[in-house]
Amino acid sequence: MNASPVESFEGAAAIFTFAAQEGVVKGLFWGMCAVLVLVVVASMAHEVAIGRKVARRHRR
Amino acid sequence: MNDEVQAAIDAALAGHTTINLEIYYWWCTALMIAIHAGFLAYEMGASRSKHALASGVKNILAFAFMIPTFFAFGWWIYLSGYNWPFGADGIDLIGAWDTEGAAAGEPWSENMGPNLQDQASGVFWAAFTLFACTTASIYSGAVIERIKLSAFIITAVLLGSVVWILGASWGWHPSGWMVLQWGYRDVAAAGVVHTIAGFFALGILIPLGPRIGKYNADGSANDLRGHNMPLTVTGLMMIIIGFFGFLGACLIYDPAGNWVNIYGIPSNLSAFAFNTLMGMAGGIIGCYFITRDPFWMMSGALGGIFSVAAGLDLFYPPLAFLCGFIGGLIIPVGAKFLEKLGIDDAVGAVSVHGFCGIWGLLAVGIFCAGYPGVGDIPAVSFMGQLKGAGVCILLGFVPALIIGYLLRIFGLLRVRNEVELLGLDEAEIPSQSYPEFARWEEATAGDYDNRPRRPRHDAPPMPRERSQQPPMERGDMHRGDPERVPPVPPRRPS
Repeated sequence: MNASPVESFEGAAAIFTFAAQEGVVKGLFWGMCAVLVLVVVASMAHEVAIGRKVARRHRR
Repeated sequence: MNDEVQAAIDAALAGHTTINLEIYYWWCTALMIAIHAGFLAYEMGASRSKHALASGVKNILAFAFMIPTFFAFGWWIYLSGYNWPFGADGIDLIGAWDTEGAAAGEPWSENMGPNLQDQASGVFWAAFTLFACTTASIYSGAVIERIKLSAFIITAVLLGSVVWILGASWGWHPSGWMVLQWGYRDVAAAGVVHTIAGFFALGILIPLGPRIGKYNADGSANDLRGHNMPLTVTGLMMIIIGFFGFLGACLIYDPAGNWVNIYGIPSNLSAFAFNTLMGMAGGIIGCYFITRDPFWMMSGALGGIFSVAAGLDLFYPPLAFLCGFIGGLIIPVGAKFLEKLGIDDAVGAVSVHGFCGIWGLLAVGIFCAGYPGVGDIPAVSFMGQLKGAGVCILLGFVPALIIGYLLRIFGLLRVRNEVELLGLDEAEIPSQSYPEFARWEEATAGDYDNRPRRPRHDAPPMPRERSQQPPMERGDMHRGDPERVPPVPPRRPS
């Protein structure tokens, strides 16, 4: 399967991967956004867990 | 025949102009990365050693989150928000966005990726992305040593990919409403980058509260110095190197081969060179005059540049020096003023960026009033600059205050007291900044800051028995509780 939208350089413009398939491009974009949100949420959870752990250790 | 030769020459020149434009912004972007290397060193040095790596991680992640989020929505906001919230019939929060004009900035547009027909979008996007990263770095220094990393990421994205770029669309865009209605002139982003970022930092600092140990019970402030002043001042010097890339990218190399500023008004790099250096020198000397302190002197270098940034292509160089000098005087006075208000800005970011940015905007209104614009852009006026400064202050401060209090209500803004006392590095970072000194630190345990001075609203201090209090070093007397008699510090093991 040829996924490239460019077959010749004559008049070629956008050449990024799967550019001809808008659904795939949007899927990749929302995938990137999902990764960013996931990392922030994971960071929040990590900080809460660390805070509890340090507080427990401090009380002891 | 002559026409053919002329056409060939014109085509070759046009091609070179386009390539020169790409090369120019490519290297400006590369230089701007020095700003972030500088901020990294500066903030790590300005932190106490127990928080040094956490400050660095915060800075690195600000950089990493800003790039994809600016790709996702920041660039689109710049291209579409220049008239927002004013629609054709008054306030129109939805219809005021220019969605058609900003189609090239949608993240799935053909311009937002490799495109053989578009040699401008990528380099302009990159330059603006680095401007956005700079706003986040400006803000990050103010909140070191106690903000949660996740809270910092959320607020930095709000600042770098939404707030400042909306301000840039209003006041740093040839069609921005502040430009067309007021003649607002801010050629190198004193207002839309520095004032907005500085006041955003202030808006977060209020709900965030001061670091434990910053204030005594009577409200007097302690000087919580960072652990590595040489690293801090070297970082500041690197930021200045990076700002040459930043300022260079504020000019546009148009297809006709002329320099124009962001408003399309004729300008050139020579003007920038004169006034950047003169403003910087004035800032250093202004801070030296007041403080004699290398930290403030190097901050003064930055503040001097920001004091002349709005009129970088207009001032006579000695005037730029004087503006920078006044900026240098403002910085330590402004920082002291905030400290007295109970606001713990760890690196003076509000003063250096916020206050100097305002002064720079007003200086253009005072000294360059009447300077003409092009097209529908009115001439410079003091009132236009004053109103523009007011918009930048509010645009930075209000969203920050709102999100800061929201995060605080949910307990997501600040680390626990125990974590802050232990040190963010020890609690959260799987490596050590100075592992060979760990034993020495344990042995001396001279961290007098472990004693809370003034209760935060959301975190009452933890009372400690006298016997549990860490000993003070003799040299710390002037920074500690004056009524407390310091015990003899333990000897360093031989």
